[in-house]
Amino acid sequence: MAADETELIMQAQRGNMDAFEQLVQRHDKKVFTIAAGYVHSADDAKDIYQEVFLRVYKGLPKFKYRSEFSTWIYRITTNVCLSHRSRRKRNLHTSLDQNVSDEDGQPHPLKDTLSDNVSADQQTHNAEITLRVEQALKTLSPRQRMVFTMRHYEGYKLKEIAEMMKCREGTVKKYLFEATARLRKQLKDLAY
Amino acid sequence: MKHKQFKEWLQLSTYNELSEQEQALLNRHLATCEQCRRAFEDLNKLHDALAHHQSVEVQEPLIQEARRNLRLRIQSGAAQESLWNKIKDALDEIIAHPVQAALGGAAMIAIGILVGYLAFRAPAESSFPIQKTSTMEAGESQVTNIRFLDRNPQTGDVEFTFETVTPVRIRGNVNEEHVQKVLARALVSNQNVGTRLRALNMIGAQAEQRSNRLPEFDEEIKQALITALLHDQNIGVRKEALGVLRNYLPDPVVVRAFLQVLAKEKNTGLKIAAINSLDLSQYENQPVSSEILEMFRNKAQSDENNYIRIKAKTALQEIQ
Repeated sequence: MAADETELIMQAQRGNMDAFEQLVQRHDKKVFTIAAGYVHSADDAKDIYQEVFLRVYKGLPKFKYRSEFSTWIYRITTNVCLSHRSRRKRNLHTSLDQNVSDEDGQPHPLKDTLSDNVSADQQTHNAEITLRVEQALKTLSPRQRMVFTMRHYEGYKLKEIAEMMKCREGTVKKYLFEATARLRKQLKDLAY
Repeated sequence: MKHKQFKEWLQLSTYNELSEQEQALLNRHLATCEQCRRAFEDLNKLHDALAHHQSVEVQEPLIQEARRNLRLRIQSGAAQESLWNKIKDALDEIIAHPVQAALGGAAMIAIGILVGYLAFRAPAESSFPIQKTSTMEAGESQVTNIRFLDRNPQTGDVEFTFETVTPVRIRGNVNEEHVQKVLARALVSNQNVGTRLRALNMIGAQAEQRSNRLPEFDEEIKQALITALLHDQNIGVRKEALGVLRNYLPDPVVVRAFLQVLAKEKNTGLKIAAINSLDLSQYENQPVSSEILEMFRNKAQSDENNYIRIKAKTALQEIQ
């Protein structure tokens, strides 16, 4: 843990909100990415973000430096993800008419951003695969899904995932193998 | 090394999770094993398909919005706590600490007495010859769920709601009215099955001993027993309640409850106990209510249980 981060933690533990906000800003993008990768929904990821940092805020006085601060936060993140129940219906189908923002923040319909080199048939095919993959991921148990998305999509090492989930590396491997087997079974008829 | 181990290593190898030694062993194995090479190709195809699943992009405006909302939530949470602290500070300024403690204690005792009075006040004198010998002791009331509604810093006026829980200890006879009331309440509202059963046993033991008409205050007991018979989630409680209610037959309300058991109860044992308890032979010299007749006819024709059908048929034949 960097010396300046230790200083920030101590100040935040004394009630310094600026210090707490600086700590949040150091780690919140990663928290958001983990949450978004797990729930695949910006709204649900925002809910998880709030819950995680409220728990960090309330638990900060009891943080005793037994682990890295980041590990502690990401451990809270995985716990919140695993217990999260979506309050909103998720729109699994991406409408081509929905707006996305460009680099300047200007909204444009999604269909205008699609490459002209990809035919409409290919775009439909890709969308179908995306939907099937999304549905297959939903069939995983919460822990299988957490391990799989953290390893496969977010690139965390199995050892890091084991620390975050507070379990043994062997257990994490077991979840990964189970998740892969299940996904293979769910998607075996898919024409890649 | 077994194939299963190599297949697991294939997966780990796609994530660069193998040591150099393990990777070398795997590569040597793949050179000679067609099955594992095919498995490796399948795995790569699976990964290609999974690549279609894009994570939600974490854009800066989204993060900024989340930070703003977090700040607001923390600030509003801190403001509620400081309001309570401000009230405490204001009271500290107005009233000296020992006086506060004395007033607080007096208020708690008053609340405890009020709760005890409301819960256990005696009704009109009963003619039932039971001597009142019980004693009641109220413990210290506990204040919970305080919610602040309004305050005026200038005048010091405050408005808030709260709940109090006062533990009470009773020592007395199970036939006494207020003891019976508590048992009746325990029967319908306590979440612990063991407590409900114990209450039933106490009520039942006394009901069996009485041969005369039951006194008025037992109406509450009777209703509690009927509620337990018809609505308790636990089958053991329902069976016990039926057993105790037998002592109240042929009270029309109890008969109606037993008919409801026949009509709606899912447990066959309980239905059999109910139909066995409804003794139609007592109606030899008087008309049987149409409600009972209709239920028995219905059961004789269409109950799924053979015993109940025969029992109903026999009972109908006996009164005709």
